[in-house]
Amino acid sequence: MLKRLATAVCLLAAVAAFVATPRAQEGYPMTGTWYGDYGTGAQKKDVTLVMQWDGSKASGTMNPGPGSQPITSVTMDIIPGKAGGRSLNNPDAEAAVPPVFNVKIVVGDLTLEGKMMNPVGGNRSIVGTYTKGAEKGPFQIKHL
Amino acid sequence: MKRQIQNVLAIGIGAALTVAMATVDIAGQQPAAQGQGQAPAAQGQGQGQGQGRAAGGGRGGGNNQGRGGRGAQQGPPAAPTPRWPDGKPILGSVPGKAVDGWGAGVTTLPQGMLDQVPFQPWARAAYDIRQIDQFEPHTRCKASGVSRQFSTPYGTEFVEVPDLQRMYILDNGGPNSYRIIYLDGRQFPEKIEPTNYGYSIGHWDGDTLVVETRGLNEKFWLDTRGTPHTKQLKFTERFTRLNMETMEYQATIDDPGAYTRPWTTTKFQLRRRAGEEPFEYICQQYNQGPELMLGTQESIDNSKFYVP
Amino acid sequence: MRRFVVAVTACGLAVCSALLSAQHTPGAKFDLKKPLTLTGTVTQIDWANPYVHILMKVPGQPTPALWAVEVEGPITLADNGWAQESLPLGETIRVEGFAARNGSNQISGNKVTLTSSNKPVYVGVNGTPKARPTATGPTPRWPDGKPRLGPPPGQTGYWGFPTKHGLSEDGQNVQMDDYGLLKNIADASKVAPFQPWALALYRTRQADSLSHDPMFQSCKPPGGPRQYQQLVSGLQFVEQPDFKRVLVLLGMGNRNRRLIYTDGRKQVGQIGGNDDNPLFYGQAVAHWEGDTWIVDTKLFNEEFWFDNGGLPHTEQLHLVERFTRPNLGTLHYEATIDDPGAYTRPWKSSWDLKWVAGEETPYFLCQDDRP
Repeated sequence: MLKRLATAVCLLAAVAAFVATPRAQEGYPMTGTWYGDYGTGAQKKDVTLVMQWDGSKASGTMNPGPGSQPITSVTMDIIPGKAGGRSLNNPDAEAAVPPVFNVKIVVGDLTLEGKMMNPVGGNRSIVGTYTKGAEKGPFQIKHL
Repeated sequence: MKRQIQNVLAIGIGAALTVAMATVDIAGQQPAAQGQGQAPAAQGQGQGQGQGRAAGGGRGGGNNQGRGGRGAQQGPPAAPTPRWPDGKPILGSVPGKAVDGWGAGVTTLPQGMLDQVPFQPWARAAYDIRQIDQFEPHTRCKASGVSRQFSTPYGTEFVEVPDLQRMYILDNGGPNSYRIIYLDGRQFPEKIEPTNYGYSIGHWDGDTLVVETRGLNEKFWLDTRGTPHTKQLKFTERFTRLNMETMEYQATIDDPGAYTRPWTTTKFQLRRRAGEEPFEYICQQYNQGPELMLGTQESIDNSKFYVP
Repeated sequence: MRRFVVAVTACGLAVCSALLSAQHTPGAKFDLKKPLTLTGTVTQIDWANPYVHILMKVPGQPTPALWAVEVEGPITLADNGWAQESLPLGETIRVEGFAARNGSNQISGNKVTLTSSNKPVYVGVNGTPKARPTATGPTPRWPDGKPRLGPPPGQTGYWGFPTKHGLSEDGQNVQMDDYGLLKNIADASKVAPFQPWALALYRTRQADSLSHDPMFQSCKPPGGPRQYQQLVSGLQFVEQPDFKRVLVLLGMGNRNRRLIYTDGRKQVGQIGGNDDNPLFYGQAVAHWEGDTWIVDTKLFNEEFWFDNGGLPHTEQLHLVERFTRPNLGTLHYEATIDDPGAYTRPWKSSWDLKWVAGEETPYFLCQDDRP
């Protein structure tokens, strides 16, 4: 069984000359480029997050280019799944329950908290709630 | 009919079958019972092609694992390892004789030791998710390197080319591609563009060929169960031909992106497929629709809008 | 760099780089009647075969839209001095090209310029392009005097850079672009001695800008002469006299391996694998006649194109290929197409490939960028 744990992956980095991350399909789930938006209506803002993983820390940048900001922290909270016995030979047994990746990304005063959909798939996405100062609302980002 | 089974798998119902297979606990089975388990006496006629193919054809989706043991007979003791004039073991076919293949032997790298594998938490979670609901890249016709080459039922052919100081490992089935292992004593280049098969260099340690591979990308799985890796992976394989019929295989996974320390698998065994020539298998042929290659499944759309 | 084939006016300024890469003629994917110019912020670079794509966000309401810019493939870009790092994320680029035929957010990157410096990126040459010295020297030979199809002893290399990329009957002098697309579709009937149905099919494929090419659409293999028409990468022959066969290692398509047998066996269907014969690569047997290597292949299926330009073939195709290596650097290739199902008589098409010494076949995988 998995242990519940919070993998706090804090990141102090200066944003060095950034090397574009290849599209990592099957590696660490946060690696790569995420594109989406937060907010609704006229206040909706697009957001790009580019992240790398060195084995213990995720680091990255929000909105590369002028106005870019370093990512302050990325937290992945993994809720363990449950093994199941269901199979073709045993269709009535319990189905396995997959683990869930809950993600919290902080960039300055912007916080994105959500659940990763299809965490080991190519087009995984994160959907949830953003807060920015007093603002609050939905956000969604998709892995490119 | 065997081809029907291949087609069924190809159309995506195979996802369920693969899932079903994955959730069956096969931890108790010996690796030697994987794959075909055929006795070496199964010679073909004329062109030397073997007989008696089991269901599942040349696909590599792991659907044929754990069902072997048929033909794992107690025959006469195997002939000793054939050797080159310089004494080194012949890992492939014996020159001047019929071409041989090597059957599957690796289902899952953590075989027999899953709870001892030093997964990082995300990697263990990813592994668990893949047991349930992911289409492995190999089923989507993706070239899949290192250990994954040894998980397809019809296995591989080891092609030694002393003239060129290298060995090729040909896929038999699956992506129908090839891997190059350089045996000329070179060093790894400083910059390696990541690929599905990586850059492999081998050297002899007594009778064991030790192959180190770097430059693997993240576009494939290391085994049928999706043992995770990142592009930091340095993968070491040890090939030891125990006798004419058996190749022992063991791997060390050194990937600080996914594991907390390097770890080494159990020893697997590949069985010789005597007289079996590699055949043509074009995975894309069985894709009745683009979904298979693009990985679309259920509500998860893995397509990329700019491909093709 | 080659000039873009369609009217220069479509590109505008001086150097219009052709999308000279691995898969499709530009018209197969882009509507050359719909020029388009966009400016966007670089969000991601998918550095993968067969083409590199720049994903950029283009201003819009309420949020920017993501567009994909298709430039050349990684092998070609690298040869011209470009790397993934050449275009930093967050840069703004101006792209001139053509809109995608299917209406999706795609544009061909005929011209890509950094707005900050007005310098081109991923188009043309960056610094000094990779030199391609011609390999010179006599034909390397085996001890028995036969020409080697591979490298001289102790060396490596591969065959690439074919002098022709589309089949057409020798002596007809039909003009085609690098992908086998006719410059003038009225020349179609000159290309080969077609049967009427085959000519009609060929014309349809050509008029469609080869967009239904099964290699472009779903990475079906380049069987037959097509494997010698590679635009990037190449192939290697590994001769194995001990096993009476030659291993062909392709750098085109999905990097397949295939076998050519030299044991004089009968060409029959295989057991296992694609055991619903016939095959994509057919059943090939070969022998030497003097210094000419003759490869005889039958039992092709019809699920692929055997030519970049979409010439049809049927299961009746009996392909005889003659290879000679007059010197180290040259492989002369002559295909005799004997397909009574599609052509009224056998006909020949020939070209040369060049030896690239000291290198392995560049890594190309048709499915590289597919999820």
